[in-house]
Amino acid sequence: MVFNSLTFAAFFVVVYGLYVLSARRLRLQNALLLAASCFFYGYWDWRFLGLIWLSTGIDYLCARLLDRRIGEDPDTGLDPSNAPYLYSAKARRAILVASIVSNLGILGFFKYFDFFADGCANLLRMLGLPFEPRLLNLILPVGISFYTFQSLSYTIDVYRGDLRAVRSLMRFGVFVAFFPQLVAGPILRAREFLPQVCRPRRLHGGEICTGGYLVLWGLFKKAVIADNLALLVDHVYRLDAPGADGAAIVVATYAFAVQIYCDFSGYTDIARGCARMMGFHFGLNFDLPYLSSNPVEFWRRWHISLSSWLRDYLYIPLGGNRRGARRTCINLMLTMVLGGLWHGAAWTFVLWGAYQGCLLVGYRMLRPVIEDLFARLGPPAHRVISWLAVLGFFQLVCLGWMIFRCQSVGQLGRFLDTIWSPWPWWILQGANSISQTGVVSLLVLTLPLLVMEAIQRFKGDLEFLPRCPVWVRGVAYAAMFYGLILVGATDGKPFIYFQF
Amino acid sequence: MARLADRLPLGALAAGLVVGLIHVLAGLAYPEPIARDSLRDKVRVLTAGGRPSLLVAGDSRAASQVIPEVLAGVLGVAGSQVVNIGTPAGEPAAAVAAYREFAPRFSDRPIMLLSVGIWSVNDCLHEGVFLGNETLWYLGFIDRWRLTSGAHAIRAIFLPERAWAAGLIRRCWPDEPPDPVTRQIVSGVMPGGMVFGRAPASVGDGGYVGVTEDVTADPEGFARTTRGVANLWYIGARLDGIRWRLFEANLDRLLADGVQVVLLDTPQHPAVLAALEGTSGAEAADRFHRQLVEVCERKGALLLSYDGRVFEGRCPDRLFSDASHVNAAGATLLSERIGRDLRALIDAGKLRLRP
Repeated sequence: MVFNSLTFAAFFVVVYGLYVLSARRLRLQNALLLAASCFFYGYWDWRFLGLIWLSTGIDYLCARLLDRRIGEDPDTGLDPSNAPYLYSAKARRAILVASIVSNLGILGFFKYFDFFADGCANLLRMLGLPFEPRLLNLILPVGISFYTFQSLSYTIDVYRGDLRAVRSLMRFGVFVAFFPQLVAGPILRAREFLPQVCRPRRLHGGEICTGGYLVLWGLFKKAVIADNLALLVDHVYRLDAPGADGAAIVVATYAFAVQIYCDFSGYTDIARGCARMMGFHFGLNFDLPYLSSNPVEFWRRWHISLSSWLRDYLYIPLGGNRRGARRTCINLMLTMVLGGLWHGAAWTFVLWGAYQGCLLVGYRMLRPVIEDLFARLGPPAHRVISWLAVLGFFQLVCLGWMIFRCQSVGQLGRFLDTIWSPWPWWILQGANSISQTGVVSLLVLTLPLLVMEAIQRFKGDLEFLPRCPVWVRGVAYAAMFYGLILVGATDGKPFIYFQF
Repeated sequence: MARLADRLPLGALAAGLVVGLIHVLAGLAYPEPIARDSLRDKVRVLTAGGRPSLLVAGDSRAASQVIPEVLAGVLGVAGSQVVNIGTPAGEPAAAVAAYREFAPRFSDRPIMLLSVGIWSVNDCLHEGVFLGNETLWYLGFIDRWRLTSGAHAIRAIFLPERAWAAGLIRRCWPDEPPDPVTRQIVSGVMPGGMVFGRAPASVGDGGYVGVTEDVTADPEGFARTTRGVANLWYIGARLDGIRWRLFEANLDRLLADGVQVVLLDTPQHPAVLAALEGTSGAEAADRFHRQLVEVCERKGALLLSYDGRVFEGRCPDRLFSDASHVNAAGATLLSERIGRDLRALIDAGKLRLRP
């Protein structure tokens, strides 16, 4: 059940109707949300419901054990809030390790077993030891990477003492399986979301309207921009595509940059919108990422919930930037490579992660020089330089997307070879074919996004539209609606991040 | 007041007003269905040199089974007087839409030889390709919902806007976009038809589109399409529902416009009939024929109905290109026969062919 389908629309209308009817009855509302979330997940493949229940059960139990205090009343669960933990530090660490191993074990088994088995076999073959691995060809349970990380962060937070374990399994179940964000995030933090599950939600007219706007804008980005650009991207990036020229590859790569952004941020907006209509607030997951001028800024604006997760639960525990420059660079590389691998079991994702790591390391090394240079220039030049930096960095981001989108390392090599040779550049080589590349589609489809983001940047408000005068909203919403009706893809194409 | 404004989704209401206004304006600008672009272009090209008085219309069977040149020869009229505007998956609604838009390009009270297939009046056939926008345009929301998927039914509410947008695109962008992707996206504005017209095939033959191959060229493909036609069109067919009522309404429209309508029911390959034996499809085929006879009697239209006997003494495998379309050899024979039957009707005073 994808967001851009009539099935989801019907599902949400029914769930929302019942949700409104059960207002002021928190337990009933939470039970409804849990049941709806299970139905939503099971609709895709009911067999994997067991997996999410298992993950939920393990983390619920581990967190409860981690948070047991001396003097806890076994009947009521009440305890002195600052009492020492019941279990020793060693035992608590063992419980945490059990949680991490079981979560990552499930994720690794379903997502990476074949990848690593194949990789080991290749390595052994290179060493002259022929080995045929038994590949399992497992179906990847949708959303497993997202809910595993979400659930894991909760146990770690409880272990660290940043959070008290929730006593109600139902509430914890809602946190893990909340349907708007279940299959592609954003990866919620328990300390932000669980309090919202535990207290009554107030359905406010303004919030419902803002939620509706987010859903509409998200659908527009997905069905109108991303899905139409997918035609252009898939045309070039097919593995069996006849040799595309440099111009076609460059246009398709720019198109993919817009497609993946609109696809993923569109999903996030719909998720945030649905949640907002039910009285929940998610943090931002995208904050105009293509207006970043350097990799550090980019990762503060792109897929914020993942990058902050990686920062808090991987980069900082590895030592972050506290152990010298060399170790910082290693930590950055390791974090980004693992972040790349999180996206999927393929070498292109590992390469993409490594590329992002290199950008971060390179920027870290060049930063003093850049800042010094910047300080020497007068303020009038700052704005120009800033915009040039944004433009320049966007090219680097797009190069990363090419690595990300290629279906194999071999295809990536061919594409890079095509783009950069022969010199002088692709325009001369591809002048005749530029009109065949779909550049018109790219420009026309990107225009609404550019206009919207320019205003968002200018106003410094990502949700400015619901605050505009009524007639502006009316025209804008009607335009989005007609965009969906006239050129919106109707085949309910899955979101790109569903596969991760 | 401020609290009320805060509670009401004013933006959504305003958007609803804008959409409603545009819908009304588009409905006023396009009160009639717009035929698919390929059909409109075909009519434009075929009527550029004169005002034809006999037009063959309908689906691909019309396009591939009736050769205007042969028909004109048998009837003894100029070749430009007979045109074939049949189009693949063209329902009666498409023929009506095309005729009404271009009526001044035809002679007064023309004869329309309208090929009607069982598929075009079968409510159980939900495939989008067999359910054109021209048909959906006439239907209410509930009927659309019954005939097609929910999303399709909802999008069909906005067909006038789609026609409007398609027209605007054509005016602003008269040539086809050069790249296939942009063309595909823009063409989606009017699903079922292309926003950008394609050069009609074989208009030099008066609109006839046929092939010379016979079914022996691809026996496996033939067996597959035979099963497909039997299962999809006949077995489990519902012929007295929404689409039949719409067909009758379209027949009324044509007759009210002064068109001399001759319904054309052409033969299927005997293998289709063999596949239908002992199934509900055989009864559906008989029923379809009976309904055509009855509606013609009731409405005052004429019917030319042919079965396999029209090719008696010849091997059907050599005359059909697939389960339901004849090839050029079959079309020549069939066209001659249709021409003779039309001649007889004209001579009997039941039809009037203007020179």
